[in-house]
Amino acid sequence: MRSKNQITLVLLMLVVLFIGLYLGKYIEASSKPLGYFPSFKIIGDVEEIVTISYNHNFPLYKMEHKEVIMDFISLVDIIKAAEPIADDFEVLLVGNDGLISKIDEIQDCGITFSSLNGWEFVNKYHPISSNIKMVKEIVIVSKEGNWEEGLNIINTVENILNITAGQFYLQGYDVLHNFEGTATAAKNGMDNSSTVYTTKKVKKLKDLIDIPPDSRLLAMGAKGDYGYVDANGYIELIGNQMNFLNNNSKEMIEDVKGIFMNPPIVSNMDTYYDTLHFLDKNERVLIFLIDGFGYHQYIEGMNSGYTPFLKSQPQAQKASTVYKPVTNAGFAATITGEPPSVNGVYSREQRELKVPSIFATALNLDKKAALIQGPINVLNTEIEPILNIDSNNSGLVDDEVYERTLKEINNGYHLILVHFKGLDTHGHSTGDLSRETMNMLQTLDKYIEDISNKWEGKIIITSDHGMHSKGQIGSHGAFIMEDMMVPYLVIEGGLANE
Amino acid sequence: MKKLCTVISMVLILGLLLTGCNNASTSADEIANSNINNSFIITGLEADDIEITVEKLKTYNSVTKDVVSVNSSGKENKFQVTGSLLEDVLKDLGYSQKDLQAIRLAAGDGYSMDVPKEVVNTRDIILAYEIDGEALDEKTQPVRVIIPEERAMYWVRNLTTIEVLEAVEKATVDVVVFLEAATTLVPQEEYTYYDSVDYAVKTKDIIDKFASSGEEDIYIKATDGLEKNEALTIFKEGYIKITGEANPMFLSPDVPKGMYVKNILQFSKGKYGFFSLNSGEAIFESITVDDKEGTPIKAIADEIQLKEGKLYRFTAIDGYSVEVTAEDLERGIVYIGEEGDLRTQFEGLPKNTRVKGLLSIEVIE
Repeated sequence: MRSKNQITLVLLMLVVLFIGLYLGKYIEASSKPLGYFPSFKIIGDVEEIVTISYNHNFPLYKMEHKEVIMDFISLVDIIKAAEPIADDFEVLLVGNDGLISKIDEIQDCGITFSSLNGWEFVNKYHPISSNIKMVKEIVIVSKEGNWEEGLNIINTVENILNITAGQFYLQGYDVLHNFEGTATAAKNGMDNSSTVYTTKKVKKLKDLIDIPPDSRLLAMGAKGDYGYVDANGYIELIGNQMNFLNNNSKEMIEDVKGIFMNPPIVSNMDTYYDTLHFLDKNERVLIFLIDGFGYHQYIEGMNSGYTPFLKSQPQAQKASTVYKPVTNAGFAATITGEPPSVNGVYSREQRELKVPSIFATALNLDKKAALIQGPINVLNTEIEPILNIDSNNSGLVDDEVYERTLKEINNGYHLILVHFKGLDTHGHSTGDLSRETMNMLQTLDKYIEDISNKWEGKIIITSDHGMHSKGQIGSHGAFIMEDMMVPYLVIEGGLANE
Repeated sequence: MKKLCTVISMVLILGLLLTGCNNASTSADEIANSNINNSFIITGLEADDIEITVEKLKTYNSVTKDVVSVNSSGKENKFQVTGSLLEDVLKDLGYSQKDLQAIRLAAGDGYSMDVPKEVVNTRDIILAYEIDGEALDEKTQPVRVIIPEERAMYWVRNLTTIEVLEAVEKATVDVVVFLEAATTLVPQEEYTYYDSVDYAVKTKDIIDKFASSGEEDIYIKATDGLEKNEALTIFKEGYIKITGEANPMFLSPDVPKGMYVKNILQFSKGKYGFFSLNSGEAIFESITVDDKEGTPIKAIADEIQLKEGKLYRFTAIDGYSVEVTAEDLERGIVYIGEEGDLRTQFEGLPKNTRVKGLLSIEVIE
């Protein structure tokens, strides 16, 4: 009897197990609430877009609200997770009904969830108007100048406008219903169509800033997008970044970092084309790529007497470099003649070129080429670089690069690229126009003079990027005039310079 | 005990059926709905439908791309697709996506998606036959359309038809103007190119004199095979250097050097084409007609995609013109005469077809 009961129990358990397995296919995990649960995002001037939903991991604290004890998340914790790009910022609390509350102080602010009001702010020491219900998004708006973030508009003489994603939001935007497509389903003899649009937060570029007629506008993006754009195009805000959309909204500069109004026609990419021209003409070419040498530093060096050799030459042309104005990207553009979107190098992270460099072109022309640089190979090119170490422990390697170039100069090369790094190093540590940086420029001026005097052929002098001061030190990598403008000069080598 | 085992077995079978029947029925539906076709058709492009099999598709260049689909709820799915480009299929048929106004992608289950001009003209359209390294499942075969920059609504599975919605015309030109002659009819000016002082004409003058109607972009092709499209506004800011190194050459002090085009073979603006005979001589095999050696007119017409017609008018700089049939066109050459002008010679045609100072060839019928 007992045995029969046990068997019945086992059978019952098996049935329950199978029914459970069967129903389990249709019942979602119990940890997830049934039905729609709203979420909201932290956007604007933040490094990370944070989405708050039912399964957030933020610590909760309890507080009485309308005579009920409820769970709250601290706004401080939420904003900290999103990593604001500025120390000084204000916060927009945005409701689904379009109501926006702008607050500066956030210590007392908390957000809770109820089925009646959705995500709801309860800010104990703020006016009740800040208690936004049905929260759609929280927007962080920087109160600082953020020339190293956001979107910058510059020309060859000044930095004109900086605007961050949060500031763009705060200024107000237009809503563009962007046509995505029309689909049709043929069922039961009927064609039922659906046209889909996406809503975009946009502002016409020409509404953002006055653009003189016939201006040429060169836009560049964080991932190397590069192209001339129309003033009738749109700036689109998505989360914490901005895109440039052409009129038809199908072509864009993604994560647009800068727009150059009437940029110089010359760019450091001309190095490739000029070198190719000279090699085609059986002329030898020596390229000086002076790391971190902005056009304003070139002018300061001459005006202050640090660069007598450069001053004795025709004045260099103003040339643009590419975004991001860092060594890898500027170097790659210089030796390929192509922008980052084509050559594949748009930041410090990439080293492989997607297109042939001037070294490959030289080899195809049966020319002998050399790349002389410091201890680290910046880019992988078609030739083995001649690397140099700081053998005399001077703290810099440019003196070794200089000596090595003098040794190699008569070894039958048709093309030599010499990469001097010292100016960039000094610029970083002491500022773009510091005495130390200018002294380094003076040293380089002498190196360039000595090498040029011994080189029979063309000489191109340019840079990968500029430099700007940031407090007591220097920096680069921003879409600002100081970083984006470099000198470009073609001179004759040989004894003519002596 | 035996009875008990039977009961347990029945319960187990019942349980397995309960847990498994849903999948089993789905598989049955899949099979029932499967499309055993291994091809799709392109309709509306030519008089007859064009069938493209997957095997044929695989003969084109294969492209593999990591893509992210965004569905109607905004959910993103990442996968890797392998297939061929619609552009390659169209080029094989003598067309280009840029020729199309719009297309409709239709699936076997009745779903269809209109692809507008701005998408057709600018996006890569991948006809995928593998996803994540696997052959497509039966519901997705024969191919799935992938347009990487567009939403998932465009990514039609089980493609049966690509319908060209609006009549297309092959990108042909009605008239081809010879650059060597045209540049003698507009002002020439000195142009300093590096250390050389050459002569150049303004592109604006050429366009205004010979191709003034329409605002189409310029298509340029060089002798080394380089092809590029240039906005008309930018092109009209430039020059064509007609002497010295790498001529004819598009360049300008107002455009970056990366936009220069050396050794132009031809350029076109809508129905107007311009051809450099000097460049053509460098890449086309010359033939001899009577005692003259020159470039076959047929080769020039094919290169510039001169519209097919029955009758063509040959016009000289001095206004003289003569009409030649399509059949005779294939027996003619253009060559450079002793005085440096362009001349024609046709096999078996009277002397009046020997045009001196040839300027253009135009299809008239």
